[in-house]
Amino acid sequence: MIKIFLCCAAGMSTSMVVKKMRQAAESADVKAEINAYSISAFETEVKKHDVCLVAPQVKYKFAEFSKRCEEENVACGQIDMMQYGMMKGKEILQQAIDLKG
Amino acid sequence: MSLINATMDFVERVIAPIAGKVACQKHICAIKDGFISTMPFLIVGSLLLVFANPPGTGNWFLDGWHSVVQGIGRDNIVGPFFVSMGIFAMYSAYGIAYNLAETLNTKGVNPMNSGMLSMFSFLLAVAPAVWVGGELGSVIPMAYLGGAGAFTAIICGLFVPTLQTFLVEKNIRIKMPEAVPEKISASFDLLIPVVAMILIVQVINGVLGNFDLNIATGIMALFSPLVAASDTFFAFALAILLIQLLWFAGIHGASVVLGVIGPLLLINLGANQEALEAGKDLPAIFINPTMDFFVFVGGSGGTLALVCMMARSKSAHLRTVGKMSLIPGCFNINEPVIFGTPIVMNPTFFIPWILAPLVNASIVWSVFKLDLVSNVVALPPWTMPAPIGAVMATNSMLAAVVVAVCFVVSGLIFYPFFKAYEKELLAQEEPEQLDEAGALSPAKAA
Repeated sequence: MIKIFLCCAAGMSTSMVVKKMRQAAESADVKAEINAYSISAFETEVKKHDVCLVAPQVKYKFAEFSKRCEEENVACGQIDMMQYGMMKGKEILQQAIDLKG
Repeated sequence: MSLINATMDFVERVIAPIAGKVACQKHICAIKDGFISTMPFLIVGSLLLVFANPPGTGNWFLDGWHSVVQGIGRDNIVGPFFVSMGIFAMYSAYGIAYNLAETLNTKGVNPMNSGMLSMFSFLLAVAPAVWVGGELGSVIPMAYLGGAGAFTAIICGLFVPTLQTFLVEKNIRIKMPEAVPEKISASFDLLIPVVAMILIVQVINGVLGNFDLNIATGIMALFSPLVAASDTFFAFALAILLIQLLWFAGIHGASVVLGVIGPLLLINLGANQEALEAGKDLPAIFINPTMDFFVFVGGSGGTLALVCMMARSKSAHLRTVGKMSLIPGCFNINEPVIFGTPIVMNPTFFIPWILAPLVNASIVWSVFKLDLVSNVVALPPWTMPAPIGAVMATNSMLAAVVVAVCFVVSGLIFYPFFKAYEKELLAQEEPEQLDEAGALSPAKAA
């Protein structure tokens, strides 16, 4: 079971990516819990998940978030712009799995 | 092209880092999140106000609307408006302090306590008890609980958690014996800050009272040039230009820019609503919906027209992104277009990306200035499809026509650049294989 959360400005477009990722997880038979939050919810969510993925439009938060994630022992990564835009659920899910290691 | 390159370089090296810092700044973030937390009240409250004020008479629809309003009773409809949008500064005072306390994360400062103390201080500052019917304090004056008190709310919201943090750091607190449960001793932690806020606010009230002023009027007078400046074409165009430049660097421009000017726009909205209730001319033009629904049809940059062209593109990549973006675009969500096309740092799209919203901004500003469409009085959610959102916000049918004009204009401006990019992609796509989704595997983003 892998718990992943995505951060963006309002959690709107990210929730579309999350939907694609859930579909990808289901078809690949990967047990995963995937959620989308706005960046202001980061602090409350960071402890509840294994992997944090930061959406490209809030990349300025990445340095701060990855530092907090390290403290909480949560893997943290930045979603590639094109993969985000193309809503590549499979690839982004793979990124999260690789990050968790 | 060198001018474009220079601008791109400037955006990436100067504007983007500054914006990143601004968007991360704790106090600015707290103000933004505090105001955002009041949004549901503002949206419902402002729509009730529109519902209570049909835009005219003379046809079956408007006359029917009037009779429905009369049937329910106008006061019954407007009542909730007064305690939502009408006193939004009071909610903001709570929300801003709560959010700041949460990010400051000082040990021994509970965010909810900060929020309550901030609201208390705010009420003490802007709603002094008055004598009514021989009774003191039976009535709270409302004049400064809405837009006119917004800056006071910001100051209370930022000051209270700062004061609490200071007191904790200096270890100024009432110490309870070890045996007292933590929950109970925590409630005593607020005693000193409450007394401190009473002293600070009441002394200022007393001093200003001698000059026939109060805190809210004083603060509003200080900030009034800023409020006036926010409602000019220059500010409107500048805000749009900044949003566009930031998005071009891949940063959520609207959330950064509105984080800074959002409170001013809410004050503008408050002014329009007060005027509407009083039956006067609506003073302000620049309010979120003026930008969200008119200039930015389909999301920042006004990309809906581009998305429609993309959905029919000969390039498989553009067609995939276009089709995928059509439905989100109808609800003004356009990250797929911005990142998938990509528009971000793509020199081909730089000119239309900046030009189209600015041209539309000029059209929209003229339309409001010439009173072709009545000014914005309500705040529909920004995800409302643009023509519907525009009609709801202005309570005028003609608004939908203006949205259509903006859609066409941005389409015309984007068209030649879209064609150029399509040609570029087609040249790359021909020799390559299409993947199962019919889309070209995206090149590794630079």
